[in-house]
Amino acid sequence: MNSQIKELPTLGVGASLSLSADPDPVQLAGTIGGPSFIEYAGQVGVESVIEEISQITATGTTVLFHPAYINFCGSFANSSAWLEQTAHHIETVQSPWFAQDLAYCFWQGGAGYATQLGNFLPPIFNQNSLQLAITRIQEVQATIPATVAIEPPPVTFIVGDIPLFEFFGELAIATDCALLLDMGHLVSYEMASGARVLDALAALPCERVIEVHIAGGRLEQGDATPIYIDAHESAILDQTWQMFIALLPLLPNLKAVCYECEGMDEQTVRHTLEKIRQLVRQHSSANALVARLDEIDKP
Amino acid sequence: MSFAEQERALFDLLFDQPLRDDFCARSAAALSDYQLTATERADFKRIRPEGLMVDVALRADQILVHLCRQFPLTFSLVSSLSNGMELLRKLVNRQTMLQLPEDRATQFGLQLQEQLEELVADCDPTLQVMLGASLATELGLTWTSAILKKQPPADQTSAENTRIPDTKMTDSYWIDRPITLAAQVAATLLPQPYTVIKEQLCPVDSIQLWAHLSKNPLTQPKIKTALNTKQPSLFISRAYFSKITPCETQVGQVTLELNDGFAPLLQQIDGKNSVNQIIEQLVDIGASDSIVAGVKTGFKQLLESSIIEVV
Repeated sequence: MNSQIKELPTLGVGASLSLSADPDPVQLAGTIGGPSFIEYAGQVGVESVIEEISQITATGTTVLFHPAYINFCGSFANSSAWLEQTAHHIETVQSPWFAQDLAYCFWQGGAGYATQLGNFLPPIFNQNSLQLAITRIQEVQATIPATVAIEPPPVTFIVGDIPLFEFFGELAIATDCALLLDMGHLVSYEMASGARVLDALAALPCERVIEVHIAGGRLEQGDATPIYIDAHESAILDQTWQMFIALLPLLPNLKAVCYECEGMDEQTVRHTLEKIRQLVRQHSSANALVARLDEIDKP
Repeated sequence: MSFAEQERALFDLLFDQPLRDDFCARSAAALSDYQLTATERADFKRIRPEGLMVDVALRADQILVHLCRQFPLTFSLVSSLSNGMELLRKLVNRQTMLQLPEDRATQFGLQLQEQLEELVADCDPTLQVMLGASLATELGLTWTSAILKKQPPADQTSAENTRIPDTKMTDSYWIDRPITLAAQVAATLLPQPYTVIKEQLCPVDSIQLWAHLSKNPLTQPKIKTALNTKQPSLFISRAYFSKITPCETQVGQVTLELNDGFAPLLQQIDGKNSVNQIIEQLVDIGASDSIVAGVKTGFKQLLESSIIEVV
């Protein structure tokens, strides 16, 4: 693992919020019991968010940028102008790293946001796709100096037969990148594939996982098993909590746990952040992360 | 036999309904038209059809949230028709989605226009006319925006509110100078002012409108009440660059609604006639002082909005 990943700061337990929407990230930032960092998705141009970001960072809260427009897989190359602007965005807001789902955000020519395809379009899990994903990540790394953390996307169906952790493990080692695991996305993979992600744990370089996401979801009843739908405005499902508890002891370099809570009320956000902090203290093997929570709790 | 062919099949499964239906019935055998090896085809056998259908429905819904922002009145009117919402969902298809992002709304609107006659065949004629006019208006806005987005000015890499409205146009000699229509102008005639009818029939913000209509489609009696009064209107718009950054071009629209009687006068705008010359022609055919005053005011509004320009 590269030294860049090791030297990243430990951020604690934070929240992913929509800027200019409830719950208000500026109000939550820096309050007792609130998030110790704020992750946000936004447009490529930093000028569209800089005012709010400045208000958040003025409270002493770190921000993490989570783009939703980079193709980290597939045949369609990223625009160099968009990558250059992303590098500028990350540098301006001083995001210690950036993370995004490995998925198609745009199709063929023409850069664009994943929302324009409805949502992230998941990758094909086969060897050719893996090679192209390596090319795409290296393309991004060549322009953006900040550490990138690659995240398995939410899925309701699977194409290809490489197990999830094997695919992302090979990718992380080949590109020397970090990883972000979203607990709900892992549950969605298990339901879509019928396979347990932890069965391929040996293939996952756990030391590269620097960030974990946890968020609400809902289940759609399928013929045989349910289908997981990523729904941040909903409650966190029991299966997602169980995945979190199972993985916390396995991630020694975890630096940030992010509750994705766009659309939730402020009280729920505070209660959930507290529950997450308790679970981290109880189960995490990342000593620096636990120490960071203790440091924040000091009067 | 390439990964690109697998990507094409994946995309088509999401946006090509006949293919998807066939796939759900016959699994990967439905992909025989794609140049795939047996191994490549086998990758698709892992798809749970019900999971695919859930993805398609969620994806279409999210895309329609954004399309609804560009066709708010049209979507509201279509929601009142039987199969209307279903048709909108169907038009999030391969034909729409293979376009560049900036062209998708136009392609969607053009497809809707093709289907409109059949969709409204059994409807009240007032609704038929209003729906056609609403779609033409919103398609005009979408189309001119898309055209402009593809022509960012070469001399500007970053700017805001770059061109219009440009009130410098209206100096004291404007009325005597030849006028021309600006680029990226669209005009439509409506049985009622667009802004008035939109306010009545689009009950929530445009970003929430699709979700609202999905649960609460408009009823035809409500539309009939709203369309009860006749106040024909000429809706004119001009697309302009509102923001240009190295990556993105944002386009705004300046809009104006005039009396429908103004429509024939737009034909007179040819880069040679001045407003005074157009007014003289009206006086020659017996136009009253009040009509002349109204015409003069209308042209001044068009000029102040930069929809017309002095040559």
